[in-house]
Parts: sequence; C-alpha cells; structure tokens
Amino acid sequence: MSESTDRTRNRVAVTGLGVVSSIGTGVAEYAAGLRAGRSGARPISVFDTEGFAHNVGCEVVGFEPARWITAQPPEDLGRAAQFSVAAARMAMADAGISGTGTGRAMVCLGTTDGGGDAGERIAENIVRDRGVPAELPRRVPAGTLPVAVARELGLSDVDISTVATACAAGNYAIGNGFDAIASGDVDVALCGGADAMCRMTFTGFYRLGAVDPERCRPFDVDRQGILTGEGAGVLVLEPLDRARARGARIYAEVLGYGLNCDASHPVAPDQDSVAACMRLALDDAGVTPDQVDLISAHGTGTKANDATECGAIHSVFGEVASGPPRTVSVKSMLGHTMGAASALSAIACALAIAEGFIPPTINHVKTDPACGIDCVPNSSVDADLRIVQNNALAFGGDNSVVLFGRHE
Amino acid sequence: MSIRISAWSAFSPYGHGRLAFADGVRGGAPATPVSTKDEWARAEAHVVPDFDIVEQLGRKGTGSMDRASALAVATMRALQRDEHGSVASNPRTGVVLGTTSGSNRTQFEFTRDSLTRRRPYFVNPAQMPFALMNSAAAQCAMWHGLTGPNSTVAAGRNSAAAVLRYTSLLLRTGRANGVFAGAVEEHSGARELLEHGQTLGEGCVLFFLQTAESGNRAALAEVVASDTRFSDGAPGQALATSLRHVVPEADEVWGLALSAADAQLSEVEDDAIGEVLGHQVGTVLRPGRLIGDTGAVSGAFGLASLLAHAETDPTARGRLAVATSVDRDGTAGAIVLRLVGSQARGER
Repeated sequence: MSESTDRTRNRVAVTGLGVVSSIGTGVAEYAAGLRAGRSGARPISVFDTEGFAHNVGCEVVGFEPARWITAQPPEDLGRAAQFSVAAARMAMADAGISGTGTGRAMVCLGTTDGGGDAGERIAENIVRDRGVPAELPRRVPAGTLPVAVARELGLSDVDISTVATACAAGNYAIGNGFDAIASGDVDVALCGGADAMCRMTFTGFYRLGAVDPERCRPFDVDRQGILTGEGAGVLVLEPLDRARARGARIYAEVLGYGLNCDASHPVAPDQDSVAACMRLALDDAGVTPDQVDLISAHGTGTKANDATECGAIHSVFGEVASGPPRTVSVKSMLGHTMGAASALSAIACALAIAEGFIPPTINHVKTDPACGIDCVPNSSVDADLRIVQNNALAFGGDNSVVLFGRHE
Repeated sequence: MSIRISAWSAFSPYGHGRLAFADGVRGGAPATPVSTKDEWARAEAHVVPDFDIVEQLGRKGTGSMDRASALAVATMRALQRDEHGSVASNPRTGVVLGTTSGSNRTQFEFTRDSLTRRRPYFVNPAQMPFALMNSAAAQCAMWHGLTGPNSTVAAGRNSAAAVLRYTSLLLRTGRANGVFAGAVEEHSGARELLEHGQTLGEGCVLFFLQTAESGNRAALAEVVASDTRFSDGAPGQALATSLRHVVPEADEVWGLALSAADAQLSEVEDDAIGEVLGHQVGTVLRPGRLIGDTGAVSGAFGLASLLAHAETDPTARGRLAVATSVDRDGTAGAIVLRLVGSQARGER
C-alpha cells in the first residue's frame, strides 16, 4: 500500500535547525556560508596524515565543547557526540522549545562511524604498546550520540535511537522522525546526523582513489572524489498543527520520504534502485516529478556516484518538459560529512525553501556530460522554491530520499 | 494494526539454528565458554561453535567479510530454510538489525594496517564496507535479494526494543510489508577491549515480522508494545517507567526475559521489574547467565528464549511475554508480546 493514499497522518513541520559544520556553526552562519558558497576545505589536523600525498578535508575548527555541554563532562563524550549535543541544543533553542514539557519526544540520530574515532585511538594505543585511557571505550558505542543529547536537554519521556546506515543515515533518521510525528507516536522529534573525521574513512577512500587532492567538485568533468568532512545537523520536527498553534516559525514541511536497498553491491550504487527510491519518496509525498523545484543531491564528487545518481535523476525526471530540476551538491562546500551529510543537506533544503535561494555547487568548471544537469555552479541564486528533494545514498546500497515543501 | 512474529532463528553459543538455541535454553545449562585469543586480547567467551565464515558461506564475497555479517547472513538462511516458520519475502521486504558499534575487529584491523604498513594507505579496501555498522544488514539484503527498507539501529543492549519499535513503524506505515528484524554481535579481542567485567557472548537472532493484514499466516506472537526510555544515570527508573507504560495487566504476564548479564545491571533490572510487576511471574528467563553478555543481541536472545519456552508450555498461550533491557547510561527497553500459538501446530 502506498503511504500517499493515507491522509490520516499528521502533517510534519520543521521548526528548528542546529548546525555544526566546517563552513559555520549555528543556522545563521551556515545559511550565510551556503549563500556565499564558502568552502570548508583545509589541511586535516585531527589525525596524523603523514605518508599521504595530500591531506585536505573539511574539518570543523574552533569548536568549543564547553560552550554547549554543561550537563555532563565534555571529556566523557566523543567528538561526534559533542557535535550532536551542540547541534541539538541549537535546534531546540531555534525552535523555541525547552527540554521539559515537550511531551513524548524522540531523539534519532544517524551516523556512519559513531565513536569510531575513539576506537581508532584504542587500536593505536594497543599497536604502539601503550595503555588504553579509561575514557576511550565508553565513547565508542554509536548509541552515545542521542543519549548525550537526551541527557543534555533533560529529556526523560524520550525514545532514543541511532540509525547507523552509513552515508545515508541522516535521511534515515529524518524519515524515522517523520513517521513518529506523522503517526502520532511522539510530539517532538530531534533528528539528523553527526560524525567526526576519522582516519579509517579518509584512508579507505584514499586507497580507493576517491579523495580529491584539493577540492570537492561534484558533477565536474575533472572531479576526483570526495573530501572527508565532519559535523552535525539536527532538525526539530513537530506536528504542523501544534507548530501553528504555538506560533512557531516553520521553515518547511516534510512531505514524505522513501527507503530502499540496492541489494546488489557493497560500494557501487545501482542506478535503477536509486531511481526507484526517488519514485517511492515522490509517491509517499504525493508529488509528481514536474513539481520538484530543486534536488540537493548526494553528489559526493566521485566519478561513479555523480554519474549514477544523475542517471537516476534523468530517468525519473526525464519526462518533465523542462528537464530535471536544478541539482546541487552542498558537499562541494562541506565535504562528505558521512552520517551528518544528508542531515546538513536537509537543513540546506529547509533554508533554501524558507529564504528563497539555491546554494551553489562550488569548485565547478565544466559539467560532465555524463551528469548533464544544471548544478548552479559557484554562485547561489535567488529562487522561489516550493518543493525540494534531498537524496542520500550509502555503502551497502541503503538509499533514502526525503521531500520538503514550503509551508503555505 | 497488529504486528506479528511468524518465525525466528538464531546462531548462538549453543550452536547453529533455532533448535540448538531452543534446546539449550530449555535445558538451562550454560553454554561452554572457550579460551579465545587474538592480537588485541585474550579471554574466556561464549562463541558460536564451529562457525567458520568460508565453511558456512563459501568463498565468494566472503574474503574480507566480518564475523557479524556472516552470522547474520547464516541466521537469515537458517530462518528461510526452517520449515517450522512462516517466511515470505518480496521486493518490499526489509531488514532491520541492531548493533552496538559494528565489527570492532574489522575496524581495529583496518586501523592497525594503516598505522603499521610501509604506507598508511596500504590497507585492504575490500574490508571497508565490512567495517561500517550497516554491513550485516546490507549483506543480508545482498545475499537474500531484499530490496525493501534496510536499516541498522545502534542501540547497544537496548537494541531489541529499539529495533522492534523501528520495525513496527515501518510496517504500520506500509513502508515494508515484511521485515527480518533482530540483532547481531560478534566476539573478538577488540570487543573485549571495549567491555569489561562480564564474560562476553556472541550471536545473531532474527525474527520475521509482518502485519496481520499482509498475510493470513501462522503467527507465534503479536507485538503488543516495544518501548525505550531514558533516565539519566538511573536505568532502573527508566525501565520501571517503561513497564508501567507498556504492560496492561501484571496478571496477564506469563513469562519474563531479563537481558542483563552482569551482577550490577541484573540487580537494577530485577528491582525495576519487582517494583512494577511484583514477583508472581512463574517463568523468569535470564539468557545472559547461559550465553554471556551478547551486547546488542541480549534482548533478542531474551525474546527467543521466551518463544522457545512458550512452545512447550501450554499455559503460555494467549498470555503476555515481556523482555526487558537496561544499560549503564540510563537507557532501558521493554517489549511485550502476546503469545498467539505455536508454528509447530501448523495453524495455516
């Protein structure tokens, strides 16, 4: 049964946004960064990059854990959990909601590596015949991310979960939050994603020849891969009626989403399956392809991803007379922030709708004919956006596409 | 909308498949721990016996596969082949698996290679997808052609409640019309470094869940509730709140499965249950005392233990089975099943 036939579900509003990113912390700074086409690329400092021919990544600099983490010792938390707490606090403040009195709440965060950076440090200590500092093991479980958020916000009547669906995890978490609000299970959902830079991701993509030496240039004919990044994005979702009743600012509505799995290859995306996921999302949202004004693509900047994803976009939007909608990659600015990626991209979608602009795909010189889309190169443009689609693909073939709409 | 469990299977320290586990927990003798040793740690642990990845799954696609993924793929195969159960998959069948932090061993080995080889990038790239937490669920989809929603929920010891809550939502909203749901945890020296105190165990449990509407199939149990809670530093309080919320009548409870494996958490779990349900429940199962601390699978082993005992206890029919979990961070979970009947009786 298609969910689009079920109109009994609550409409879902996005009422708060929180961001930790390499181009700005806080929603205002992040929005300014998106508009300006700011790049977060810089030399990686969080782990030793000696021996690699290049070491550019999109690292968060100047992050002050103590500014955000007051209900627990910051050193008990891994970097991704610290980012999560900061983004969640910002999102709740932005929504104008305090931790108590929320009713039944949900914290659902997506992540690729969870506390994997702490795991790496444990492994390194063993390899180098050193002792393991006592605080490291408890930072490792991925479940520490939403638990740290609930603790900081003083939430008790709360469902806590971590969705660990690799690079699509942010969208998975938003989808889960959407269903929980739409079905009336919870009254407020904090959802999104977080990850900290780690050696494993950088090394793995580097070994695959999929890290660009200098800059991330999605859809460009000369693109060479991702830049690894980090950060957190958290969205506050509420029933639309409730948001209206309390006079909340509504950035956008979540219209629906789709989930599927390629079930074919561990790392290579499957064009037909990605297209099928977009169709599931459109159907769930009750939207036709011609109504979509913008796609915020997964757009990693690897040869394979961008061509496959654009192929899927052409197959879904091919029958639209004006061609596929403009398709941008915020990873050109943020790098690939893994579990945070589709959450930060979703926040960009909400801001684009609310503020009437399209974030650019930066570092762009010449569009790859194999992509064949208008990626809004290098400079943001003003635009009246009603419906925006947010794509996420992951290793393991886990796809998730979320549709956002303007609140009229 | 009623959500039903129509089949289950497990790979456990008692052996391969449903029967091995059911016989083991009904017998009540602890599985035999073995001495394990790798480059990271040595420890006594309850491991799945005779589980060699290549022997189980062949050479194709297993060269870099982590043990957790292999356990999940093998458990799913056993579930699909088990005549006892009722499993029907199609393009909208999904997979939802619980974990703590994926295959720690794969992650640690990848890091070791990067730190010790002549160049830091002389790592095995084929290992990378298996180092990610979604590997086991994704491998299940690949090996068994499941293109529906595929998700991994990292809730540690509360994974069973979190996974069933997540799965129920997928089924209620029609995003999936059947889900293989469960959890997996592998044993390794790397995991020994992350846990302390208790003897660790490993394994995988999978259940097949459907809405009652999506097929008039035999059911073992109906999922009445799955609930997770948090109370900062007070998991017992979180569990008590959860139980008050999800258990309609204490009199209706036929059986309980407690998942804590170490003494301190066990006491917290006991106290919370006593506070809410009293001490009248006749069947109280503690699989952690039999197969060790199985981390993310501990709650699923609790559910499986309840189903195994219910099969041979006629008084269970129509009553409630409750599986609980607590963790040190203040999180807790509870699952309530209504025992419908037995597959073995072939109610089709």
